[in-house]
Amino acid sequence: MKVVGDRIYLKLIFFGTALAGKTTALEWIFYHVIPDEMKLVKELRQVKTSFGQTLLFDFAPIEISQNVVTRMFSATGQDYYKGTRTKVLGGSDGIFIVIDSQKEQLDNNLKILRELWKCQQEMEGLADAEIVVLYNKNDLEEIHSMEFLQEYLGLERHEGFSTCALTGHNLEDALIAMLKKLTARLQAGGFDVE
Amino acid sequence: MENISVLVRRILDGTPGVKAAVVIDSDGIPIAIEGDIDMEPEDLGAMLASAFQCYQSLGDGLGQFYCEMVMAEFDGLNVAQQMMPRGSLVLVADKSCPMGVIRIAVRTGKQALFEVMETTANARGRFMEEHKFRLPKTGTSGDKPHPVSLLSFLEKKKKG
Repeated sequence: MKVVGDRIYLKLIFFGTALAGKTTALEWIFYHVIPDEMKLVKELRQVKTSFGQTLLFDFAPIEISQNVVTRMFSATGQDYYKGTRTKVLGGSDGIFIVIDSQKEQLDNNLKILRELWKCQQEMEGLADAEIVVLYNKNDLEEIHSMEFLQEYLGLERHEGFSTCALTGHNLEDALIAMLKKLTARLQAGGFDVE
Repeated sequence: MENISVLVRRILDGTPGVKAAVVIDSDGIPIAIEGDIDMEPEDLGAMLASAFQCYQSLGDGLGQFYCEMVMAEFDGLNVAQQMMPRGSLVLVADKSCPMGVIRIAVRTGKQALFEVMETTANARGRFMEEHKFRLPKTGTSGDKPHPVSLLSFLEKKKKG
């Protein structure tokens, strides 16, 4: 969290394996959930590879309340860009962990979660970030259940939602859960926000 | 203490060919933008901070402590980004403005801004510590309508 002028800036990250649906989730939220008057830009800023995947980040700043700006990023999931991925994590107030529920992605989920936990130990303040988990791709058939993934990946203590980023299923509820956590954090810090 | 915007404007006006001068903090939050630049400030700040962090990562890989400056030549513009404590100064210039001139201007600008950034950061830290419970001002004041928060909006929407 940063205070610049009369504005509070929060940073919210979508973090997960490559092709887990981070960008799709951010796009769905930006274009279907956020009212236009709260968007500080008309379009998502996306830094993509030549083959269309996220190179550095996708970015959308929104004013979630008067003078409170949330800068939403989806980090790249590509291991090739691991160096920048962890940079994007720095200073996050909230993290949406996007789990790819497909059975074949189980190990990749574990791997990226280990990276996140390591970053939390090494990066100042990251351990305090609020976490909401999106168990994504619930529309597919060859997937693990949310309950299995919660236990196997050690995510039981974090609030989670079974989601489909393509259709937006449960994304709005997940966003509400995150906003409640961030608002409570601001209020606990003495800020008078809704 | 001189205002950052005044200093940035002076840097802009003092170098022929420079179209815009921008100061962002280390996370890309725009602190001051002077001149003609056709991008949303938030967008610009995020791009600049991330681009700079990419070079910082490259430097880490090459065994360097920090990235001092990044310069870019586009087809119609030259850009220089100079690291400062807690942020960076960026100059955007026409192609007619030689890179060497921009380089000197951005370095000189850094010196001028150094002191005021230092003071501003200290003042901001102290201000937050002392008065954070009063920031930001929310609620109705004067004729300004009270905007609903995203959380309230979504909760109401969910309830139908």
